[in-house]
Amino acid sequence: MTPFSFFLPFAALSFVSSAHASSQYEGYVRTRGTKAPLKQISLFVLPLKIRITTDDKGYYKTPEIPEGPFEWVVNASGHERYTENATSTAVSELVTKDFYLEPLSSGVFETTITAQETNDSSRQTLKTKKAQSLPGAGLDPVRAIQNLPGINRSSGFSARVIVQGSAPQETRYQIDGHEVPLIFHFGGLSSVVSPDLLESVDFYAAGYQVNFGRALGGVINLQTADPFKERWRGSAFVDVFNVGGHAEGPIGEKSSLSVSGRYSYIGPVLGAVAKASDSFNLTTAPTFYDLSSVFTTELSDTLKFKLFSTASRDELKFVTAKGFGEDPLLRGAFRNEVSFFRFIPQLLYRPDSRTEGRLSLGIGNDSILNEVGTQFFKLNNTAVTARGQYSKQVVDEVWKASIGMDSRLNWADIDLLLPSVVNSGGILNPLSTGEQRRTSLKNVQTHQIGVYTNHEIRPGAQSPWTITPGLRFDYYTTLKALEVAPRIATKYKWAEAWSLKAATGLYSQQPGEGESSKDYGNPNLKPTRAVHATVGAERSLDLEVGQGSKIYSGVFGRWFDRLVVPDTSTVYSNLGKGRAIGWENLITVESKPWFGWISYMLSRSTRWNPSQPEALSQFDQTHLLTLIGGVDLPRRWKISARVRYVTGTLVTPITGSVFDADNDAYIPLRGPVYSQRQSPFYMVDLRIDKQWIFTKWTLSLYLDIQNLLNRANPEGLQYSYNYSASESVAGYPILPTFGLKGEF
Amino acid sequence: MIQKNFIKEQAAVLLTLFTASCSDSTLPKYQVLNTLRIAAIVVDQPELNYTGAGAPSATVTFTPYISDVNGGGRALTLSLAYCLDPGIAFGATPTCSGSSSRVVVQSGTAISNVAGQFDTPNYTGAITPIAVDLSAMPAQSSALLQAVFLASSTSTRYNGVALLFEFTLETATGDEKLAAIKRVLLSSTEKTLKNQNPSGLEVRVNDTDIGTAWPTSDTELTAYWPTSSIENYTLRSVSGQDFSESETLQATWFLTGGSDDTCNRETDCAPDGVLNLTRSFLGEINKYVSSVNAPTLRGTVALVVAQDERGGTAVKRLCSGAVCP
Repeated sequence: MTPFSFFLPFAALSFVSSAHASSQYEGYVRTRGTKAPLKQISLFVLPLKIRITTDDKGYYKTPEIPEGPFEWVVNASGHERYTENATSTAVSELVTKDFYLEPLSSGVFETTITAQETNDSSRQTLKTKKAQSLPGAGLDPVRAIQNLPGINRSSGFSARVIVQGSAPQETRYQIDGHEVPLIFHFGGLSSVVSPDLLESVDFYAAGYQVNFGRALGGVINLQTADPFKERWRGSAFVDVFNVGGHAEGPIGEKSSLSVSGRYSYIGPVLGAVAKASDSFNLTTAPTFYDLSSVFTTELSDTLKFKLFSTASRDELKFVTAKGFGEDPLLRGAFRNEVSFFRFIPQLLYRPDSRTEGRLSLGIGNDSILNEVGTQFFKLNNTAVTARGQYSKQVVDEVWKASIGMDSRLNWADIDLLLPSVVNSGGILNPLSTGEQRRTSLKNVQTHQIGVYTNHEIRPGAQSPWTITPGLRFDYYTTLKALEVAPRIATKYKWAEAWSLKAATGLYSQQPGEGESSKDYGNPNLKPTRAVHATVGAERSLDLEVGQGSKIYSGVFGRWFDRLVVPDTSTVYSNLGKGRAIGWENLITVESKPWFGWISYMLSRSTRWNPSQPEALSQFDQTHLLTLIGGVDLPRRWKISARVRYVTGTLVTPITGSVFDADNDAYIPLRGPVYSQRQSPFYMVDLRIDKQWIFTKWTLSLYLDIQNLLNRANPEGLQYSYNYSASESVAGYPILPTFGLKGEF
Repeated sequence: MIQKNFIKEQAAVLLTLFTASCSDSTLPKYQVLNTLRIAAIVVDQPELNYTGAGAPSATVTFTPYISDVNGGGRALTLSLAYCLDPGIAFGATPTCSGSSSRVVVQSGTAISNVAGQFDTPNYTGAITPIAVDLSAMPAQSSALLQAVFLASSTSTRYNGVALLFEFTLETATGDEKLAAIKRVLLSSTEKTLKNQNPSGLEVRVNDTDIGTAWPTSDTELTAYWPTSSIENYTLRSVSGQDFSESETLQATWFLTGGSDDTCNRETDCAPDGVLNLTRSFLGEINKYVSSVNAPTLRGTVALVVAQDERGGTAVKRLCSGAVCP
C-alpha cells in the first residue's frame, strides 16, 4: 500500500459526491451505560473504507456518504466491537447518530487518580472501585480494608480498626490527611463518607513516615476523588442499611463539583423488632446520615483549589426498664448522639515539575451527647487541623526534600456526670461501683503541634536504592511535652519486579483526654511512645499473571513504652510497656476473569507493667487468614467469596466477686488477664453481583451473605450477676444483605 | 482525642447492650434468692463528719440482710473487718486483706436467728445488727486515716474519704463463702448535709401501702418513698467547682426462688412467682405473676431495697404464704 492509498477512498468519495446526492453523519461515541466519551477511537464506514476519529469529547463527523447501503464498524479498546448496517439516503442531509459501545468489563465509574503527598512504602491502598467489590464489605471501601494483612479482626459490631496488635485507640482516622473523630457510623455498618466521593482508602502500618504522626498503631486515610469534569453523571443506591445518591460534573471550564448524601433507615426495622418487648422501648432507633461534597477549581495553571465538606450524624435513643448486666446505672433512658462536620479547603501549588506546595485546613465541630440513666457526657469541640507541605526536587532523580506541618487545635466545652470506670482485662466493673465525678469545663484547649522534614534520596540516578530519612517534632500543649521522632525508610529495587523495603522510627501519641484529665486521671502523664521496625520484600507478578498481581512478605515489630495503665495511687500512670511482632503475607492474583487474594498474618502482642508480668494483650490474634476469590462470569455476573480464620478472642477468667452493698452490684475478681481463649473465629462470606447495562445507565445488584455457614462465633462472654456463671456471646448469624445501584 | 475514643467505646457498648437485650439468657437472675446471698447491708449513718484528727467519734451499726432459703437452717458465720478504702473505684481489689489500716471487728461469729427476719423456715431477712465503735479504732489505723485524709485534696475531703467495711459470710462447713463491702464516708465539717438512708419506704398497690404482706395473686406493684426522702447534695469537682445534685432513688426487688438452680429461668420458677423487673424507679410498675403451686413448707419472701446512689439504703421485708413468721 502506498502512502497515499489511505486517501484514495476520500478522493473517490469526493468524486462520487459531486455526482450524486449524499448524507453526512455526526454524533458521539460513548460507553454504553456510563456514557463516558470514547476519545480518539476510529469509526469505519465500509466498504467505502472511510475512517473517522473521535475528538476528546467523543465527537465525530463523517464526510459525505453516497446513497446506498453501508456498514458502521467501531472498535474501541476495552469494548465490544460494534457493527451496524445502514443506508445513506438520496436526500442531502446531516444525520445525527450516537454510538454506545458495550464495555467488556463490568466495572463502576472510573476514578481520577490524585498524586499522594509522599511515596510511603508502609502504605497499602485500596482503590474504591476494587474495594467495593470485595465480599463482606457491602459497597463500603473502608470496611474492605479489614481484609488487608496487618489489620486485626475487630469483634462483632465494633467500629474499631486494630492495626498489627496495637490498641484500637492507637489508630488515627483522617480524610485527606485531616483527623476526624470517627470513620464509621454506628456499629461499623458504614463509613462516614460516601464511597462515591472516595478515590481510595490508604492504610499506613508500622514504619509510616513523618508526614503523619500522633498514632502508635497506624493511620487510615480516606483520599477523596476529584469530581468528574467531562460531564454530569450520578448514581442512586439502596441497600439494607442506607439509601443515598450522588451527582458530579463540571461547573464552567475549570471547576467541578460532586455531592453525595446517605440516610440510614435501619432504625425503623430494629425499632419494629424492639417494640415487641414491653420492657424495652426504642424511642429513636439507630439512625445515621451524612452529606459530603467535593469542589475543585483551577485557579491558574499552577494553582489548584479543592474544598471537601462533610457532615455526619448518628443518633440512638431507647428506654430499658430491665436494664443491662445487673448494673443499677444501666437503667432508664439511653441516648447517644454524635455529629461532626468538617470543611477541608486545600491548595495545591505546582509551579514546575520539581516543586510542589500543599496547604490545607480542616475546620469543624464535633458534638457528642451521651446519656445513660442519670449519667451524662456532653462535648462540644471546635477543631482546626492544619497541614502544609513544601517539596522540592533539589537534585534531579537524586534528592527530593520536603518540609511540612501537621497540627491539631481543639477548643472544647465538656459537661459530664460520670463515675470513674474500671476496665481491666476486658471486663468492666459495674459503672455504679465507680466514684461519681461531676465536671463542667469551658474552652478546654488541647493543641497538638507537629512539624516535620522528609528527604527522599537516591545515591545516583540509576541507583536501586532509595533512602528516606525524616524527622518529626510533636508538641502536646496539655502535657507540655515535646516529642522528637526520627524515622527512616529504605527501598531497594532489583530486577524489574523485585523490591525490598525496610523502615523504622519513633512514634508518640497523647493519652486519652480522660486519662490525662486532672478531674478523671493524672495530669502528669507523658505521651505514649513506640518504636516501629519493618522489613519486607515484594515481587510484582504483573507480567506473569496480570496487572495488579503481586506477592508480599514482611515482618514487623513494635515496642511500646510509657503506655497508660491504671494506678490505684495516681489513677493512671505511664508504667505500661508492650510489644507486637508479626509476619505478614499477601498474594494477590488478577488474571481475568479470575481474581484472588490470600492474606495471612502470624503475630504476637503482649503488654506488661510493674504490677503485671508480661501477658498477651487483648488484641493478640496469633493467626489471621483471609482468602478471597472471585470470577467474572458471562452476562455480567460476578461471584466471589471470602473465608476468614482468626485465632479466638482472649478473655480474662474471673475467680470470684464481691458484693458492693452501697451500689447494689458485684465487683469481679479477675484471674490472670487474657489468659484464656475462646474458640477460633471462622466465617465464610459469599457475594454475587449482577450488572445490567442499558444505553444510558447501568443497574447493579449485589447480594452479600455474611456468615454463610451460620457459625456461632464467640465474641465474648456474658456473666451472671455475681460472675459465677457465664455464657458465650455469639457474633451475628447468617446475614444476607443486598443492594441496588443505578448509575447514569 | 477524647471524642474519638469515647464515641467508639460508647457505640460499642450501646450496640452490645442493644443486641444483648435481644438475647435469651439462661444465666441466674439477680432477683431470685435461691442460693446463699447477701441481699443488702444497711448502715445507720452512711456519712460522718470528720475533722481529720485521730479516730472518728461515732458508732455505726450495720444490719445485713441475708437469704439462705434453701440452706435448711445450716450454721453460718459472719466476719467483719474495716480499713481505708484501697481505691476500689480505681481498680483496687475490694478487700481489707493486706491493708495496714485493717481492723478486725469480729471473726467467724455465728449468726443467730432473728424472729420475723432471718429465721426458720424462710431464712431470708435481717440478722442481728453489728455495732462498730469507730472511736475505738487502734492508733495505727487512726493515724493512717488522719494522714490520708489530711493529704487529700480539699474536694476529696469535702466529698468524703471512705472507710471500707468487709463482710465475709461463710457456711460452717466452709464450702460456701461470700464477700460483701459497705462504705462509710468521712467528710469534712464544711459539708453540713450528710447523706441519710432513704425513709418512708413502702410497697404499694394502687397507691396504697400493702404493709408487709406479699401478694398471693398477680399484682402490679410500685415502690414508694416520699419526695422528702430524696436528698439534695453538693458534689465538688477536682477543680473545686460545686455542683448541686439530687438523688435518684431506685428499688431493687428480691424474691425467694425454688429449691434448685433450674429455677433461675422464669418459666421454671413456679414456686414463688416472677417479677417483671429487678429494679424500679419511684412509681414504676413492677408486675408480679404469682405461682399456681406456691410453696407450702415455707413462705414467699420479698426484700425491697431502696438505695440512693451514695450508699444510703433502706429495706422492706414482705412475706406471704402458709409459713410466714
